[in-house]
Amino acid sequence: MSHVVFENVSKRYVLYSRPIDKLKEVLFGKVSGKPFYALKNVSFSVKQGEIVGVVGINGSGKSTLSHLLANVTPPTYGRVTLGGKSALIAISSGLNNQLTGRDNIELKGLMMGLNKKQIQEITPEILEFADIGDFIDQPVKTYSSGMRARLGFAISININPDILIIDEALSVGDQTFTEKCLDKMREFRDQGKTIFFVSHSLNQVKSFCTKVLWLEYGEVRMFGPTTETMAEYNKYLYWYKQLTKKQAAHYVMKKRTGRSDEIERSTRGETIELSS
Amino acid sequence: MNGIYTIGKELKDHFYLIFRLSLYETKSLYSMQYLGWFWEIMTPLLQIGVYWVVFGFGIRGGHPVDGIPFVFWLVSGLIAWFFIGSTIPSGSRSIYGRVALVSKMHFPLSTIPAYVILAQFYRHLAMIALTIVLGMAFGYFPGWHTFELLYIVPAGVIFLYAVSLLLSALSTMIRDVQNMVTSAIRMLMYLTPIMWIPPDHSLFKTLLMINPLVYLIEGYRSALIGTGYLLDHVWYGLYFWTVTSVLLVVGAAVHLRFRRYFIDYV
Repeated sequence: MSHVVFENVSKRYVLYSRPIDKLKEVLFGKVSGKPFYALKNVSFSVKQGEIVGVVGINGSGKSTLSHLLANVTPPTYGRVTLGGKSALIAISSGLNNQLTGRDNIELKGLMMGLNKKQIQEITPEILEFADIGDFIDQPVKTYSSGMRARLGFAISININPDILIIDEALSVGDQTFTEKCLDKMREFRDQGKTIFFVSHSLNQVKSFCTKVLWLEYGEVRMFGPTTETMAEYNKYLYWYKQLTKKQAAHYVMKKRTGRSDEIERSTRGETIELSS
Repeated sequence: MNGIYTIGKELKDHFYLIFRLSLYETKSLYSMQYLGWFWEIMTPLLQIGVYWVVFGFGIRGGHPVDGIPFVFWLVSGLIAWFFIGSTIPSGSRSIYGRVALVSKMHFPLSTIPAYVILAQFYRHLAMIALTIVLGMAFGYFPGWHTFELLYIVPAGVIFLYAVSLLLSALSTMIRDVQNMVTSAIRMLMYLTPIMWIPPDHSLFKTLLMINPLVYLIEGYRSALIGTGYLLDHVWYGLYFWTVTSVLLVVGAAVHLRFRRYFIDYV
Protein backbone atom coordinates (compact mmCIF):
# COMPACT_ATOMS: atom_id res chain seq x y z
CA MET A 1 0.00 0.00 0.00
CA SER A 2 1.27 3.44 -0.85
CA HIS A 3 1.92 5.50 2.20
CA VAL A 4 2.85 8.84 0.73
CA VAL A 5 1.62 10.00 -2.66
CA PHE A 6 2.45 13.20 -4.52
CA GLU A 7 0.33 13.94 -7.59
CA ASN A 8 1.50 16.78 -9.81
CA VAL A 9 2.48 18.84 -6.80
CA SER A 10 3.74 22.36 -7.40
CA LYS A 11 4.63 24.98 -4.86
CA ARG A 12 4.74 28.60 -5.87
CA TYR A 13 6.32 31.40 -3.93
CA VAL A 14 5.85 34.93 -5.10
CA LEU A 15 8.80 37.29 -5.21
CA TYR A 16 7.44 40.75 -4.57
CA SER A 17 9.27 43.76 -5.85
CA ARG A 18 7.37 46.06 -3.51
CA PRO A 19 5.67 45.23 -0.21
CA ILE A 20 2.44 46.81 -1.47
CA ASP A 21 2.10 43.97 -4.00
CA LYS A 22 1.86 41.51 -1.17
CA LEU A 23 -0.90 43.57 0.40
CA LYS A 24 -2.77 43.60 -2.91
CA GLU A 25 -2.53 39.83 -3.07
CA VAL A 26 -3.90 39.42 0.44
CA LEU A 27 -6.78 41.80 -0.22
CA PHE A 28 -7.74 41.01 -3.81
CA GLY A 29 -6.16 37.61 -4.42
CA LYS A 30 -4.34 38.92 -7.47
CA VAL A 31 -0.76 37.72 -7.90
CA SER A 32 1.21 40.79 -8.86
CA GLY A 33 4.75 39.71 -8.02
CA LYS A 34 7.08 37.44 -9.92
CA PRO A 35 6.12 33.80 -9.38
CA PHE A 36 8.83 31.35 -8.46
CA TYR A 37 8.16 27.64 -8.48
CA ALA A 38 10.11 25.80 -5.78
CA LEU A 39 8.55 22.51 -6.91
CA LYS A 40 7.19 21.76 -10.37
CA ASN A 41 4.82 18.87 -11.13
CA VAL A 42 6.38 16.55 -8.58
CA SER A 43 4.80 13.11 -8.62
CA PHE A 44 5.94 9.98 -6.82
CA SER A 45 4.58 7.41 -4.43
CA VAL A 46 6.29 5.66 -1.57
CA LYS A 47 5.30 2.40 0.09
CA GLN A 48 5.15 1.74 3.78
CA GLY A 49 8.45 0.82 5.44
CA GLU A 50 10.68 2.55 2.94
CA ILE A 51 13.51 4.89 3.70
CA VAL A 52 13.70 7.50 1.01
CA GLY A 53 16.82 9.59 0.65
CA VAL A 54 16.20 13.04 -0.80
CA VAL A 55 19.22 14.47 -2.57
CA GLY A 56 19.90 17.47 -4.74
CA ILE A 57 22.17 20.48 -4.82
CA ASN A 58 21.27 23.70 -3.01
CA GLY A 59 18.06 25.30 -4.21
CA SER A 60 16.59 22.14 -5.63
CA GLY A 61 13.52 22.24 -3.38
CA LYS A 62 14.47 19.72 -0.70
CA SER A 63 13.31 21.89 2.18
CA THR A 64 10.05 22.80 0.46
CA LEU A 65 9.45 19.10 -0.08
CA SER A 66 10.03 18.33 3.58
CA HIS A 67 7.66 21.14 4.58
CA LEU A 68 4.97 19.69 2.35
CA LEU A 69 5.57 16.22 3.79
CA ALA A 70 5.30 17.56 7.32
CA ASN A 71 2.09 19.36 6.38
CA VAL A 72 3.59 22.66 7.43
CA THR A 73 2.57 24.42 4.26
CA PRO A 74 -0.02 23.51 1.61
CA PRO A 75 0.89 22.87 -2.03
CA THR A 76 -0.18 25.49 -4.57
CA TYR A 77 -1.37 22.90 -7.08
CA GLY A 78 -1.73 19.15 -6.95
CA ARG A 79 -2.47 16.71 -4.19
CA VAL A 80 -0.37 15.37 -1.32
CA THR A 81 -1.70 12.26 0.41
CA LEU A 82 -0.11 11.28 3.70
CA GLY A 83 -0.86 7.89 5.22
CA GLY A 84 -0.66 9.10 8.82
CA LYS A 85 0.79 11.62 11.22
CA SER A 86 4.09 13.09 10.09
CA ALA A 87 6.86 14.72 12.09
CA LEU A 88 9.70 16.88 10.85
CA ILE A 89 13.07 16.91 12.53
CA ALA A 90 15.21 19.83 11.51
CA ILE A 91 18.29 21.39 13.07
CA SER A 92 16.30 24.28 14.48
CA SER A 93 14.09 21.91 16.34
CA GLY A 94 11.78 24.52 17.81
CA LEU A 95 12.80 24.27 21.44
CA ASN A 96 12.04 27.15 23.78
CA ASN A 97 15.37 28.46 25.05
CA GLN A 98 14.05 29.96 28.27
CA LEU A 99 12.45 26.75 29.50
CA THR A 100 14.12 23.64 30.88
CA GLY A 101 14.55 20.49 28.85
CA ARG A 102 11.82 18.77 30.83
CA ASP A 103 9.39 21.63 30.20
CA ASN A 104 10.22 21.49 26.53
CA ILE A 105 9.31 17.82 26.41
CA GLU A 106 5.85 18.60 27.71
CA LEU A 107 5.47 21.73 25.60
CA LYS A 108 6.39 19.99 22.39
CA GLY A 109 4.32 16.95 23.25
CA LEU A 110 1.29 19.18 23.79
CA MET A 111 1.88 21.00 20.54
CA MET A 112 2.09 17.71 18.69
CA GLY A 113 -1.30 16.76 20.06
CA LEU A 114 -0.41 14.31 22.81
CA ASN A 115 -2.37 14.27 26.06
CA LYS A 116 -0.97 14.44 29.57
CA LYS A 117 -0.81 10.67 30.03
CA GLN A 118 0.93 10.01 26.72
CA ILE A 119 3.53 12.64 27.55
CA GLN A 120 4.24 11.05 30.91
CA GLU A 121 4.68 7.70 29.20
CA ILE A 122 7.22 8.84 26.65
CA THR A 123 9.26 11.11 28.95
CA PRO A 124 11.55 8.32 30.32
CA GLU A 125 12.28 7.10 26.78
CA ILE A 126 13.13 10.62 25.68
CA LEU A 127 15.45 11.12 28.67
CA GLU A 128 17.16 7.83 27.95
CA PHE A 129 17.59 8.58 24.26
CA ALA A 130 18.71 12.20 24.61
CA ASP A 131 21.18 11.26 27.35
CA ILE A 132 21.83 14.75 28.68
CA GLY A 133 21.87 13.90 32.37
CA ASP A 134 21.29 16.63 34.91
CA PHE A 135 21.01 19.27 32.23
CA ILE A 136 17.43 18.18 31.67
CA ASP A 137 16.33 20.51 34.46
CA GLN A 138 18.38 23.44 33.17
CA PRO A 139 17.17 26.00 30.61
CA VAL A 140 17.78 24.91 27.03
CA LYS A 141 19.83 28.06 26.36
CA THR A 142 22.62 26.55 28.47
CA TYR A 143 22.83 23.47 26.21
CA SER A 144 25.50 22.82 23.65
CA SER A 145 24.32 22.52 20.06
CA GLY A 146 24.77 18.75 20.19
CA MET A 147 22.62 18.47 23.30
CA ARG A 148 19.95 20.61 21.70
CA ALA A 149 19.90 18.46 18.59
CA ARG A 150 19.76 15.27 20.67
CA LEU A 151 16.83 16.52 22.71
CA GLY A 152 14.95 17.72 19.63
CA PHE A 153 15.54 14.44 17.88
CA ALA A 154 14.59 12.38 20.93
CA ILE A 155 11.30 14.22 21.34
CA SER A 156 10.28 14.03 17.69
CA ILE A 157 11.15 10.38 17.35
CA ASN A 158 9.37 9.34 20.52
CA ILE A 159 6.03 10.94 19.73
CA ASN A 160 5.67 8.00 17.39
CA PRO A 161 4.88 9.52 14.01
CA ASP A 162 3.87 7.38 11.04
CA ILE A 163 6.02 9.40 8.68
CA LEU A 164 9.32 10.80 9.81
CA ILE A 165 11.14 13.52 7.90
CA ILE A 166 14.74 14.17 8.83
CA ASP A 167 16.06 17.38 7.35
CA GLU A 168 19.82 17.59 7.79
CA ALA A 169 19.33 16.97 11.50
CA LEU A 170 22.03 14.35 11.87
CA SER A 171 24.84 16.53 10.67
CA VAL A 172 25.40 18.12 14.09
CA GLY A 173 25.72 15.05 16.30
CA ASP A 174 28.88 13.02 16.81
CA GLN A 175 29.45 9.55 15.41
CA THR A 176 27.93 7.63 18.33
CA PHE A 177 24.79 9.71 18.33
CA THR A 178 24.39 9.40 14.59
CA GLU A 179 24.70 5.63 14.96
CA LYS A 180 22.07 5.66 17.69
CA CYS A 181 19.72 7.64 15.47
CA LEU A 182 20.27 5.37 12.51
CA ASP A 183 19.55 2.34 14.73
CA LYS A 184 16.34 3.95 15.90
CA MET A 185 15.33 4.66 12.33
CA ARG A 186 15.95 1.05 11.30
CA GLU A 187 13.68 0.06 14.15
CA PHE A 188 11.12 2.48 12.75
CA ARG A 189 11.38 1.00 9.31
CA ASP A 190 10.81 -2.50 10.70
CA GLN A 191 7.62 -1.22 12.31
CA GLY A 192 6.39 -0.31 8.83
CA LYS A 193 6.89 3.44 9.05
CA THR A 194 8.07 5.63 6.25
CA ILE A 195 11.15 7.78 6.58
CA PHE A 196 12.32 10.63 4.40
CA PHE A 197 15.96 11.40 4.86
CA VAL A 198 17.12 14.74 3.46
CA SER A 199 20.89 14.83 3.51
CA HIS A 200 24.02 16.04 1.83
CA SER A 201 25.95 13.13 3.30
CA LEU A 202 26.04 10.75 0.35
CA ASN A 203 27.53 7.97 2.45
CA GLN A 204 24.68 8.02 4.94
CA VAL A 205 22.16 8.00 2.10
CA LYS A 206 23.92 5.11 0.39
CA SER A 207 24.24 2.94 3.48
CA PHE A 208 20.82 3.60 4.84
CA CYS A 209 18.15 4.38 2.24
CA THR A 210 16.15 1.93 0.20
CA LYS A 211 15.21 4.47 -2.44
CA VAL A 212 16.48 7.85 -3.53
CA LEU A 213 14.56 10.85 -4.81
CA TRP A 214 16.81 13.21 -6.71
CA LEU A 215 15.47 16.71 -7.08
CA GLU A 216 16.87 19.25 -9.47
CA TYR A 217 15.54 22.81 -9.39
CA GLY A 218 12.07 21.78 -8.33
CA GLU A 219 11.69 18.77 -10.59
CA VAL A 220 12.15 15.07 -10.01
CA ARG A 221 15.26 14.20 -11.96
CA MET A 222 15.26 10.56 -10.91
CA PHE A 223 13.46 8.34 -8.43
CA GLY A 224 14.55 4.76 -7.96
CA PRO A 225 16.68 2.22 -6.10
CA THR A 226 19.58 3.67 -4.14
CA THR A 227 22.54 2.24 -6.07
CA GLU A 228 21.43 3.32 -9.54
CA THR A 229 20.18 6.75 -8.55
CA MET A 230 23.25 7.52 -6.48
CA ALA A 231 25.53 6.46 -9.30
CA GLU A 232 23.75 8.86 -11.66
CA TYR A 233 23.76 11.61 -9.03
CA ASN A 234 27.50 11.19 -8.50
CA LYS A 235 28.10 11.48 -12.23
CA TYR A 236 25.98 14.62 -12.28
CA LEU A 237 27.87 16.17 -9.36
CA TYR A 238 31.15 15.48 -11.12
CA TRP A 239 29.84 17.03 -14.34
CA TYR A 240 28.45 20.05 -12.50
CA LYS A 241 31.74 20.68 -10.72
CA GLN A 242 33.72 20.88 -13.94
CA LEU A 243 31.44 23.57 -15.41
CA THR A 244 32.92 27.05 -15.55
CA LYS A 245 31.26 29.70 -13.44
CA LYS A 246 29.53 31.18 -16.46
CA GLN A 247 28.29 27.84 -17.73
CA ALA A 248 27.00 26.92 -14.29
CA ALA A 249 25.15 30.22 -13.90
CA HIS A 250 23.58 29.82 -17.33
CA TYR A 251 22.54 26.25 -16.54
CA VAL A 252 20.99 27.21 -13.19
CA MET A 253 19.12 30.13 -14.77
CA LYS A 254 17.69 27.94 -17.49
CA LYS A 255 16.68 25.17 -15.11
CA ARG A 256 15.21 27.44 -12.52
CA THR A 257 12.90 29.42 -14.75
CA GLY A 258 12.33 26.75 -17.35
CA ARG A 259 9.10 24.74 -17.71
CA SER A 260 7.21 27.03 -15.33
CA ASP A 261 4.49 27.39 -17.94
CA GLU A 262 4.01 23.63 -18.06
CA ILE A 263 2.75 23.52 -14.49
CA GLU A 264 -0.35 21.37 -14.13
CA ARG A 265 -2.90 23.78 -12.68
CA SER A 266 -6.06 21.68 -12.76
CA THR A 267 -6.15 20.70 -9.09
CA ARG A 268 -6.04 23.35 -6.43
CA GLY A 269 -3.42 22.38 -3.86
CA GLU A 270 -4.51 20.19 -0.98
CA THR A 271 -2.97 17.91 1.62
CA ILE A 272 -4.96 14.90 2.71
CA GLU A 273 -3.96 13.17 5.91
CA LEU A 274 -5.43 9.72 6.35
CA SER A 275 -5.80 8.62 9.94
CA SER A 276 -3.86 5.46 10.54
CA MET B 1 -21.52 32.04 12.18
CA ASN B 2 -20.07 28.65 11.22
CA GLY B 3 -16.64 30.14 11.78
CA ILE B 4 -17.45 31.03 15.37
CA TYR B 5 -18.66 27.49 15.95
CA THR B 6 -15.43 26.02 14.55
CA ILE B 7 -13.26 28.32 16.65
CA GLY B 8 -15.36 27.70 19.75
CA LYS B 9 -15.04 23.96 19.32
CA GLU B 10 -11.26 24.20 18.88
CA LEU B 11 -10.95 26.21 22.08
CA LYS B 12 -13.17 23.78 23.98
CA ASP B 13 -11.34 20.67 22.70
CA HIS B 14 -7.94 22.10 23.55
CA PHE B 15 -8.72 23.54 26.94
CA TYR B 16 -5.97 21.64 28.75
CA LEU B 17 -3.47 22.65 26.06
CA ILE B 18 -4.40 26.34 26.38
CA PHE B 19 -4.06 26.14 30.15
CA ARG B 20 -0.63 24.47 30.10
CA LEU B 21 0.73 26.68 27.36
CA SER B 22 -0.39 29.80 29.20
CA LEU B 23 1.60 28.65 32.24
CA TYR B 24 4.70 28.08 30.10
CA GLU B 25 4.14 31.47 28.53
CA THR B 26 4.35 33.21 31.92
CA LYS B 27 7.19 30.95 32.96
CA SER B 28 9.39 31.73 29.97
CA LEU B 29 8.52 35.42 30.30
CA TYR B 30 9.97 35.67 33.78
CA SER B 31 12.64 33.02 33.81
CA MET B 32 15.27 35.64 33.03
CA GLN B 33 14.50 37.73 36.07
CA TYR B 34 15.15 37.03 39.71
CA LEU B 35 12.09 38.92 40.91
CA GLY B 36 9.63 38.05 38.11
CA TRP B 37 6.42 38.28 40.11
CA PHE B 38 7.64 41.28 42.01
CA TRP B 39 7.87 43.26 38.75
CA GLU B 40 4.43 42.01 37.74
CA ILE B 41 3.01 43.99 40.66
CA MET B 42 5.63 46.71 40.98
CA THR B 43 5.39 48.14 37.44
CA PRO B 44 1.64 48.79 37.60
CA LEU B 45 1.97 50.19 41.13
CA LEU B 46 4.54 52.74 39.96
CA GLN B 47 2.31 53.68 37.03
CA ILE B 48 -0.66 54.12 39.35
CA GLY B 49 1.48 56.31 41.56
CA VAL B 50 2.45 58.58 38.68
CA TYR B 51 -1.11 58.94 37.34
CA TRP B 52 -2.39 59.59 40.84
CA VAL B 53 0.05 62.44 41.32
CA VAL B 54 -0.37 63.94 37.84
CA PHE B 55 -4.12 63.57 37.36
CA GLY B 56 -5.31 63.36 40.96
CA PHE B 57 -3.29 66.11 42.59
CA GLY B 58 -1.93 68.01 39.61
CA ILE B 59 -5.04 68.37 37.47
CA ARG B 60 -7.90 67.67 39.86
CA GLY B 61 -6.31 69.21 42.92
CA GLY B 62 -7.07 66.17 45.03
CA HIS B 63 -10.89 66.34 44.61
CA PRO B 64 -12.84 63.08 44.75
CA VAL B 65 -14.98 61.92 41.79
CA ASP B 66 -18.70 62.00 42.74
CA GLY B 67 -17.65 61.41 46.32
CA ILE B 68 -15.37 58.47 45.41
CA PRO B 69 -11.71 58.90 46.45
CA PHE B 70 -9.79 59.62 43.25
CA VAL B 71 -7.18 56.90 43.71
CA PHE B 72 -9.82 54.17 44.13
CA TRP B 73 -11.78 55.51 41.15
CA LEU B 74 -8.57 55.62 39.10
CA VAL B 75 -7.36 52.14 40.05
CA SER B 76 -10.66 50.37 39.40
CA GLY B 77 -10.64 51.63 35.81
CA LEU B 78 -6.91 51.41 35.33
CA ILE B 79 -6.61 47.70 36.14
CA ALA B 80 -9.03 46.99 33.30
CA TRP B 81 -6.86 49.14 31.06
CA PHE B 82 -3.65 47.35 32.13
CA PHE B 83 -5.25 44.11 31.00
CA ILE B 84 -6.58 45.53 27.73
CA GLY B 85 -3.47 47.55 26.91
CA SER B 86 -1.07 44.64 27.39
CA THR B 87 -3.27 41.96 25.85
CA ILE B 88 -4.14 43.60 22.52
CA PRO B 89 -0.53 44.17 21.34
CA SER B 90 0.68 40.76 22.52
CA GLY B 91 -2.45 39.07 21.15
CA SER B 92 -1.92 40.72 17.81
CA ARG B 93 1.71 39.62 17.68
CA SER B 94 0.89 36.16 19.05
CA ILE B 95 0.63 34.20 15.82
CA TYR B 96 3.45 35.50 13.69
CA GLY B 97 5.80 35.25 16.65
CA ARG B 98 5.07 31.56 17.09
CA VAL B 99 3.81 30.12 13.86
CA ALA B 100 7.27 28.91 12.86
CA LEU B 101 7.42 26.93 16.10
CA VAL B 102 4.03 25.30 16.01
CA SER B 103 3.33 24.89 12.33
CA LYS B 104 5.76 22.01 12.13
CA MET B 105 2.81 20.13 13.47
CA HIS B 106 -0.95 20.10 13.21
CA PHE B 107 -1.66 22.77 15.69
CA PRO B 108 -4.95 24.60 16.16
CA LEU B 109 -3.68 28.13 15.61
CA SER B 110 -6.82 29.70 17.07
CA THR B 111 -5.64 28.63 20.53
CA ILE B 112 -2.56 30.85 20.34
CA PRO B 113 -4.30 34.19 21.02
CA ALA B 114 -6.33 32.40 23.69
CA TYR B 115 -3.35 31.19 25.69
CA VAL B 116 -1.51 34.48 25.29
CA ILE B 117 -4.54 36.25 26.77
CA LEU B 118 -4.85 33.65 29.52
CA ALA B 119 -1.20 34.18 30.45
CA GLN B 120 -1.98 37.85 31.14
CA PHE B 121 -5.20 36.98 32.88
CA TYR B 122 -3.59 35.56 36.05
CA ARG B 123 -1.99 38.88 36.86
CA HIS B 124 -5.28 40.61 36.11
CA LEU B 125 -7.13 38.45 38.64
CA ALA B 126 -4.54 39.31 41.28
CA MET B 127 -5.02 43.00 40.52
CA ILE B 128 -8.80 42.74 40.86
CA ALA B 129 -8.33 41.18 44.28
CA LEU B 130 -5.91 43.93 45.32
CA THR B 131 -8.35 46.58 44.12
CA ILE B 132 -11.10 45.09 46.28
CA VAL B 133 -8.74 45.30 49.25
CA LEU B 134 -7.94 48.90 48.38
CA GLY B 135 -11.67 49.66 48.22
CA MET B 136 -12.16 48.21 51.69
CA ALA B 137 -9.44 50.49 53.02
CA PHE B 138 -11.60 53.41 51.82
CA GLY B 139 -14.76 51.89 53.27
CA TYR B 140 -16.16 50.42 50.04
CA PHE B 141 -17.01 46.84 50.93
CA PRO B 142 -18.00 44.17 48.42
CA GLY B 143 -21.75 43.86 47.97
CA TRP B 144 -24.29 42.82 45.36
CA HIS B 145 -22.53 44.98 42.79
CA THR B 146 -19.42 42.79 43.13
CA PHE B 147 -21.31 40.03 41.31
CA GLU B 148 -21.19 42.22 38.21
CA LEU B 149 -17.58 41.06 37.93
CA LEU B 150 -18.94 37.68 36.82
CA TYR B 151 -20.38 39.52 33.82
CA ILE B 152 -17.86 42.22 33.00
CA VAL B 153 -14.67 40.10 33.31
CA PRO B 154 -15.84 37.43 30.82
CA ALA B 155 -17.20 40.21 28.59
CA GLY B 156 -13.73 41.76 28.55
CA VAL B 157 -12.04 38.44 27.81
CA ILE B 158 -14.40 37.64 24.93
CA PHE B 159 -13.94 41.13 23.48
CA LEU B 160 -10.15 40.83 23.73
CA TYR B 161 -10.16 37.39 22.14
CA ALA B 162 -12.25 38.69 19.22
CA VAL B 163 -9.89 41.62 18.70
CA SER B 164 -6.78 39.43 19.03
CA LEU B 165 -8.10 36.79 16.64
CA LEU B 166 -8.65 39.40 13.94
CA LEU B 167 -5.48 41.41 14.55
CA SER B 168 -3.23 38.36 14.83
CA ALA B 169 -4.38 37.14 11.41
CA LEU B 170 -3.97 40.57 9.83
CA SER B 171 -0.58 41.31 11.37
CA THR B 172 0.76 37.93 10.26
CA MET B 173 0.01 38.85 6.66
CA ILE B 174 0.69 42.58 6.88
CA ARG B 175 3.30 43.40 9.49
CA ASP B 176 2.38 47.12 9.45
CA VAL B 177 -0.75 46.24 11.40
CA GLN B 178 1.44 45.68 14.44
CA ASN B 179 2.79 49.24 14.31
CA MET B 180 -0.74 50.51 13.91
CA VAL B 181 -1.86 48.56 16.96
CA THR B 182 0.99 49.90 19.08
CA SER B 183 0.25 53.52 18.31
CA ALA B 184 -3.52 53.03 18.51
CA ILE B 185 -3.16 51.58 22.01
CA ARG B 186 -1.02 54.51 23.06
CA MET B 187 -3.69 56.96 21.87
CA LEU B 188 -6.62 54.99 23.22
CA MET B 189 -5.14 55.11 26.68
CA TYR B 190 -5.83 58.85 26.74
CA LEU B 191 -8.91 58.83 24.52
CA THR B 192 -10.66 56.47 26.89
CA PRO B 193 -11.81 58.24 30.06
CA ILE B 194 -9.62 56.28 32.46
CA MET B 195 -7.75 59.06 34.20
CA TRP B 196 -10.11 61.96 33.52
CA ILE B 197 -13.84 62.56 33.54
CA PRO B 198 -15.65 63.71 30.39
CA PRO B 199 -18.07 66.65 30.86
CA ASP B 200 -21.63 65.45 31.54
CA HIS B 201 -24.38 65.34 28.89
CA SER B 202 -22.16 66.61 26.13
CA LEU B 203 -22.00 65.54 22.52
CA PHE B 204 -18.33 64.84 23.23
CA LYS B 205 -19.26 62.25 25.84
CA THR B 206 -21.57 60.51 23.40
CA LEU B 207 -18.88 60.48 20.72
CA LEU B 208 -16.44 58.91 23.17
CA MET B 209 -18.87 56.07 23.70
CA ILE B 210 -18.33 54.89 20.13
CA ASN B 211 -15.21 53.32 21.61
CA PRO B 212 -16.44 50.05 23.16
CA LEU B 213 -13.58 50.13 25.67
CA VAL B 214 -15.51 52.84 27.55
CA TYR B 215 -18.14 50.21 28.35
CA LEU B 216 -15.52 47.85 29.77
CA ILE B 217 -13.78 50.52 31.87
CA GLU B 218 -17.04 51.87 33.28
CA GLY B 219 -18.28 48.31 33.73
CA TYR B 220 -15.28 47.51 35.92
CA ARG B 221 -15.98 50.64 37.97
CA SER B 222 -19.59 49.62 38.27
CA ALA B 223 -18.59 46.21 39.63
CA LEU B 224 -15.74 47.32 41.89
CA ILE B 225 -17.15 50.59 43.26
CA GLY B 226 -20.87 50.13 42.75
CA THR B 227 -21.55 53.10 40.46
CA GLY B 228 -24.52 51.30 38.92
CA TYR B 229 -23.27 52.11 35.41
CA LEU B 230 -24.00 48.68 33.94
CA LEU B 231 -27.66 48.66 34.97
CA ASP B 232 -28.13 52.26 33.78
CA HIS B 233 -26.65 51.58 30.34
CA VAL B 234 -28.42 48.51 28.98
CA TRP B 235 -28.57 49.96 25.46
CA TYR B 236 -24.90 50.76 25.51
CA GLY B 237 -24.34 47.16 26.59
CA LEU B 238 -26.26 46.04 23.53
CA TYR B 239 -24.00 48.20 21.39
CA PHE B 240 -20.93 46.65 23.04
CA TRP B 241 -22.10 43.12 22.29
CA THR B 242 -22.97 44.04 18.71
CA VAL B 243 -19.44 45.36 18.16
CA THR B 244 -17.97 42.26 19.84
CA SER B 245 -20.06 39.90 17.70
CA VAL B 246 -19.08 41.65 14.49
CA LEU B 247 -15.40 41.47 15.49
CA LEU B 248 -15.77 37.80 16.34
CA VAL B 249 -17.49 36.91 13.07
CA VAL B 250 -14.98 38.85 10.96
CA GLY B 251 -12.01 37.62 13.03
CA ALA B 252 -13.08 33.98 12.78
CA ALA B 253 -13.69 34.27 9.04
CA VAL B 254 -10.32 35.91 8.33
CA HIS B 255 -8.47 33.49 10.61
CA LEU B 256 -10.02 30.37 9.08
CA ARG B 257 -9.68 31.64 5.53
CA PHE B 258 -5.96 32.39 5.76
CA ARG B 259 -4.48 30.23 8.49
CA ARG B 260 -3.24 27.56 6.11
CA TYR B 261 -1.03 30.20 4.55
CA PHE B 262 0.26 31.93 7.69
CA ILE B 263 3.56 30.09 7.48
CA ASP B 264 4.17 31.41 3.96
CA TYR B 265 3.91 34.99 5.23
CA VAL B 266 6.40 34.68 8.07
